[in-house]
Order: sequence, then structure tokens, then C-alpha cells
Amino acid sequence: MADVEENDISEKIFENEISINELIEYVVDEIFPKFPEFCDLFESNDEIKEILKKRVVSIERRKTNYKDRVLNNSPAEYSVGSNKIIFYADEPITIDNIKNSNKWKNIFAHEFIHAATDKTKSSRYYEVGCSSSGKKNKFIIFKELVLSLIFLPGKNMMKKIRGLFVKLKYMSSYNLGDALNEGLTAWITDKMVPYVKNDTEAYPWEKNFIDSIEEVLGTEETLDLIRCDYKKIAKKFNISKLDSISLIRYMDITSCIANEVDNNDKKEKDIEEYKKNVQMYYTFGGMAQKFFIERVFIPKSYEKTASSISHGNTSVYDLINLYNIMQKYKNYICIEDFSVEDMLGSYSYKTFYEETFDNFESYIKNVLIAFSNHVDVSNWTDEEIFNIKRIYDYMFKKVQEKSEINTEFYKFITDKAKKIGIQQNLMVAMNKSVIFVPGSPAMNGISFKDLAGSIIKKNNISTSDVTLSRRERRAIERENRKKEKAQRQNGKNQNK
Amino acid sequence: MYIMSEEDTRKAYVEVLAALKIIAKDDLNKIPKNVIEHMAENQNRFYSFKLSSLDELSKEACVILVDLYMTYVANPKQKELMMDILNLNEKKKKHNS
Repeated sequence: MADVEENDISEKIFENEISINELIEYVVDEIFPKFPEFCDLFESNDEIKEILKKRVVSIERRKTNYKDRVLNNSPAEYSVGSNKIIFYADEPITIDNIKNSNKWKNIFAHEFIHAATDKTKSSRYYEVGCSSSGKKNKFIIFKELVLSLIFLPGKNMMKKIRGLFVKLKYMSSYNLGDALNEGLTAWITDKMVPYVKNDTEAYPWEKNFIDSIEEVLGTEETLDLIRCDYKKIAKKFNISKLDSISLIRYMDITSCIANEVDNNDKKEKDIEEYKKNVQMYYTFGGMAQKFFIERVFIPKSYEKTASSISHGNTSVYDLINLYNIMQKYKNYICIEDFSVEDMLGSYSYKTFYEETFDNFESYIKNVLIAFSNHVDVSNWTDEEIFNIKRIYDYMFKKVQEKSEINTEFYKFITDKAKKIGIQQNLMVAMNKSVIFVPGSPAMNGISFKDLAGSIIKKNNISTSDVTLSRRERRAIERENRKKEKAQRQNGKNQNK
Repeated sequence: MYIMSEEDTRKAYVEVLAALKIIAKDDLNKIPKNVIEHMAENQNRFYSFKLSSLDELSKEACVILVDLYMTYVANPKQKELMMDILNLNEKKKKHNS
């Protein structure tokens, strides 16, 4: 844990019981070599020592019962502001104690890594996901190293991450999904939550995406994603384990934001700093989304619709749902201001947004072609025809290759749809399988005021109708309550 | 003037619940949960109803919907306006009879 609050005042503080220089020498020479990836970031051990001597000016021991910190698994902290390492122990600790205890070795290694890397603009590498509890110390990963691996498009991306973990010997006891989960949760919570809290649109944006995923995959599968069970996910979606881990990583970010959104510990002045990182956040989210939509979302939706077509099922709800989700996706992913050329070179966020959306459209076009060729529409309800017509309209506007879609079928649909009438248009949009056209009033449902107004006019409802109805309903409710009471009493009597 | 039977009310609850599904969430949230729960518990489960047009709503359902709107959703001004329309309809009815 880093960043101790400056106003943390303990009951008793013991300063400089351990020689700082001796401790730094021991940690750098004996413990850090176990983390070769970390040591590679510096030219030599002397360079690390120099940095540490500047950043760790003193070491404080505090009583273990202070604010129950030990119960919260935080036996040590690095304070950036005062260049201190604070640890919690009742008895003085010597260098020999540290040498003989794996727990203290882990704790001090962790805090010194914080001291050497954290909050330094010049440093290219960060450490994340490392709580001070001994168990979690296994999850030390280097933030920017991981990020650079994530943002580098290429087949070997996941191999590199896996390689890193194998090198660090974390694969033996914990799966990679858990480790990424731990590291990236810390990263997002640390960097993004205060920003998200102050931006009212960010949270619904994430929520919508999870809702959309749930619509297609089902609740259980979505939960598996959030639970980071990468083996299950790989099996269910028929993708490789590494790809499933990539999925988990994205889901973890969204769930983390959902859980931590109320955390208001951070100071407001820090928000500006977090805002700088939001670009990176959107890049990351966008890439993960692209991956998700291409590899899981579209194939899964296609599978559903294709199976319903092959079984001669004339229901069009799958396609309608897909169209709805695509429109939602269009609404919340369209953040074109975030150009991320610094991060990805010429491969910008806008580019992969467009690519993903094109994929979406081409998929819907394919389903429409399948529908027009294989499905008997004579049994379709007015509502289904109306909805399909809207999808066709959309596709004809967007896709120029009209010849691919059966135009006779489209004409038939159009003629039928015209007969449905204007009033029907509104009411069709009220059903469960509604097509929400962005910007239309039906998107958020109909206002009760409009509904009540039109009902009163149509049915000539008068004051006496309302009062009578109210009286009648109250009488019925009263009778129901009496009946319930009587039943309860009977039950009690029988029990006696 | 008509009198609602218990059976009519139970059927009307089915229609009202179907109509509430299309109402904007902001408006829907203003109706207390226990009111909706009461209708859900006491609806006629053997009566199936699919809303595709306002004309299909029975008068009982319309009356309940208007009552719900006036009791929980409308602001004082809207309530006044509604009362004016209801009173006007009342006068029309008396005049016609």
C-alpha cells in the first residue's frame, strides 16, 4: 500500500530503529534479484540504491492495533509525501528479524518497489496489484509493462503476458486470470474511480455494456466473465484460454468501476491528474470491447439466429434484439474525440470503433439475406413485419450493395408495413421486443402524462368513474385483507 | 356509470400491468412498489392480454391508469388540468343523459 495520509497520527511512533542504509543494501542485493523483470528496468543495483536513498528518508514503526490496519492486511505503507516507510509491529524489528522472516522480506520488498517506481514521471514502469499481505505479493506485475503488452496489437500479446508470469513463477499457484484481475483492478481503482465518480456518464456507459452482454450471453455466462473463470469461459464460447483471459480483463474493469464508484476518498485536486489518464482508459476499454464484440458477441448472436432460422422458426426477435444492441453500442461507443495516436500509432480509437461497427452491420446484413431467402413471412405478425422493415430501411441507407438483399422481399415487407398505420408504429414500439431508434421518444418509454391524456379523451372518463373505481378497488382490497386475516387465524388455530 | 366487479378488477390489473411496461421509467418509479405488487398478486392469471393498441384497453383498466397517474405521477398543475378534463366529461355525460 502506498500514499499514507499525512494527517495519520499514531499513538506511538518509533523512528529509525533500523538502519535505513543497511535495509536498502539488503533489499536491493538479496531480495530484488528474485524479481529480474523489475531489476531489468534499472541499469544497475547502484542506481536502485541511489533512488531508494532519496525516496526513503526514514522508517517508522507503529503499534499494530492502530486503526486495525493489521486486520486489513496492511502491515506496511510507503508514504510518498514524507518519503517514509511505515510499518506496524509491537516489538522493534532488526535486520536479522527481516532476514529470517519471509513475511517481512515480502513486505519490505513490496514497499521499496513502491518507493523506487511509484508516482515518478520519469519512471517508465510501475508496480500494481500488490497488496502488502504476503499472499497477494505473488501478484506483482509491472503496470506499464503489462499495459504496453496490452496495447501492442499482435498475435503474441497474450503470449508475452503469459511469459512474464511464467518467468515470475506465478503460474504455479495462481492462474493468470486471477493475477491480471488483481493487477488491473488495482490500476483502474487507483487511477480511474475518482474520475468516473465525477463524470455522470461513465458509469451508465459501463452498465449498458454489461446489460447488452447479458442480453446476448445470458446471466450465467456474464457472471462467469466477472468471476474470472477463464477455463469455463473458454469452453462455453469455444475460444482459446488466452482469449478468454483477455475477455476477463475487460469485464474486470467494468465490474470494478461498478463496485468502487462510491469511493470518495480521493482528493478533488487529484482529479485533473486522473483525467489525463482517461484517454488511456477509453483506449483500453475500446480495444477490449472490439475484441469482445468480434470474437464472442457477434458469433454468439449469429449462432442463436441461425439456429432459429434452420429450425424453421419464424420469430424475428433475435434479430431485433441484435439490432437494438447494435444501436445501443453505437450510442455509447461513439466517443470520437479520443484520438489515441500517441498510444497506438496510426491505429486510432476511431478506426477500431468503425471497424467494429462495420462488422456489426455486415453481420446483420447477412442475417437479413438469410431471412429473405429462407423464411416464410406469411405467418409474421404486423409487429414483426414492422420491426424488420425498420431494420431493412436502416441497412439500405447504410449498405449500398442493395442487390445482395432480396428487393422483392423488401417490397412485400414495405407494403405490409404501410398498412399497419401510423398509430400502430407507436404501439409496436411499446412491446418488449421494441426497436429503439436513437433519438426517438420511444427510447425511454412513453410518458405517463401522454398515455393518461389520450385514455381520458378516448374513453370519456369522468370524475365519477375514477372515484367509483377507487371506492370499488378499496372495498375489494379490504375484503382481501379480511380473507387473509381469517386464513391466518384458521392456520394458527389448527396449529394449536 | 358502471360498477366494477371483482373479476373485472382482476382482469383490469392484467391490462394495467401490460400498459405500465411501456411507461417511461422515471414515471414508473413514482408509483409505489406495493401498489404494483398488489396488482401483480391479485391479477387474473388465466386472462392473457397483449397490448398492441390503446383501443384494446378495457374501461376498467383505463380508469385505474388515470387514477394511478393522478395519485402518484402528476404534479399539482397536471392534476388540476386532469380534474378539469374529468369534470368536463362528467358534465357532458349528464348533459347527454
